[in-house]
Amino acid sequence: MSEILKVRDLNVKFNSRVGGVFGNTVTKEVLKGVSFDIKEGEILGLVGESGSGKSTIAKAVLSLVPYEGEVVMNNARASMVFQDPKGSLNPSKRVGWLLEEALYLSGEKDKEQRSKKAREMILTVGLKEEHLMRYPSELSGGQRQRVCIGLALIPGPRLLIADEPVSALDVTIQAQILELLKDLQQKLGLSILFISHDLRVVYNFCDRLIILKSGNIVEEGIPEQVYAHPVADYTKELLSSI
Amino acid sequence: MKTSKKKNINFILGISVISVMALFILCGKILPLRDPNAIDASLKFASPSLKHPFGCDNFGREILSRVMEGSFSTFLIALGTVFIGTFFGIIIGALTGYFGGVVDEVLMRINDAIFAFPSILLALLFISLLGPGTYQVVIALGIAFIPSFARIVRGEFLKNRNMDYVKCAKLLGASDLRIMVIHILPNTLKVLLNSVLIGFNNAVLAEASMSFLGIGVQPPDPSLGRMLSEAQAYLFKAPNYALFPGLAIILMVLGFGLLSDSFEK
Repeated sequence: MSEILKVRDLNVKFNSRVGGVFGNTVTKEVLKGVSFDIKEGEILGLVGESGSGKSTIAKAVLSLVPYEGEVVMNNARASMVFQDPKGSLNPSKRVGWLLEEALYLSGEKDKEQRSKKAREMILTVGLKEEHLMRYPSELSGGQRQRVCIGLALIPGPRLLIADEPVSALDVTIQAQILELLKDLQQKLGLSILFISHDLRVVYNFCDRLIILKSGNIVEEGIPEQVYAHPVADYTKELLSSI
Repeated sequence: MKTSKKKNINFILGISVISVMALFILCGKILPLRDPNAIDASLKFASPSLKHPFGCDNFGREILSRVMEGSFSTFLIALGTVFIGTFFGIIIGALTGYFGGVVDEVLMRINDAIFAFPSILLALLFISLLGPGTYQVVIALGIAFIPSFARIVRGEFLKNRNMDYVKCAKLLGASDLRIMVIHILPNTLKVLLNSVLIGFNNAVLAEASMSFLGIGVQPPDPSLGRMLSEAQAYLFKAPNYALFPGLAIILMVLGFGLLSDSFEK
């Protein structure tokens, strides 16, 4: 199996200015030399507490933040599913418009094709055509996350980055969304970078996992092995807190 | 439930008052009334009668047709002012709020400086540069109104630009202009509508004050503020002269005030 994403020595620093225009610049290192690979068709779990730099890795891979180091995507596109399905859908637009806009931006200029593909996509993510006419506020959290997944799939990505996709949802809905992601992964042969703070969610869902603490990778391996024989103290701590 | 009912009443009242004013202005344009500037010495300070419902002023001009015409010009000036303020306010607010950085810092400090002056004072300054007149008032008030709109729009764009739906659109390859106009702007409209209504009220009052000071609409053309200032001298002799233009201002402000209340969250 070949790698779809190769990350080598990834460093991300944030400069923040303290005290207005003439204040000092404070540099904060968020990622300190992170390296990992994602293989084709693999689900990689990325676990860490808040502030550990999980989301920053996602943003760096998508070039949403400036970074140093090497991020090589093997002629593939990446899409992202965000944590808060409410904030990632424009509240003033209908679901159908959002899907068609994504199609338009992905290069589909024909209006009829767009509405046809939007209808197909809404079915792919397990919703009904009637949901196209709804506003995001009229959907449940799980339905909104399904729309977000649909939006992310539209550009035809090979790699899907899911940043805490189920953290804002009820446990039963979590299971449904995870099932949908697994389904899509198998059907489309996607690779998934699954970011979570919850080891329980990751255990059943991921093929391999990475544990991140303050910008460093402290543990890497398949879930069974990590859970049975954790190496790093931090991992033991995390596991004991479950 | 109770509050929403109250808002509903505000909405209905506001719309009714505005409709009455609109009808009133429309009547002035359609009905064959006397020319608002026609002078008739025999009618000097004529009391309200069937022929002249609001009476006549110190030049024997009919107050009814003058109030109608004055309301119309006040309305137009307020509309123009709010339009200029909103249009440039949106552009400045959107650019500064969305892009941030040095441009934001500089423009907002200028904005703060302009904001620090009362808008009337600022408008007076522009009038002294442009000279008095109707169009000059619209431009002066419009410029004076830009900062408050820019500030509101900037705040909304600042709030929205970091939201995930904007990142989503960016990831899909939407251009900055497309994100600003198509994605973010519709989400600011709710807040903007409210401030447009309040801004309209402020513009009505500002126009009336400027005409009252004699630098707005020029005589002999009628304007509500101008009529009030002329009526001042004859307040006891002909109270109807001050009463009706004052009422027209109150109704106009009240209508839009109630409407903006009903839109408030």
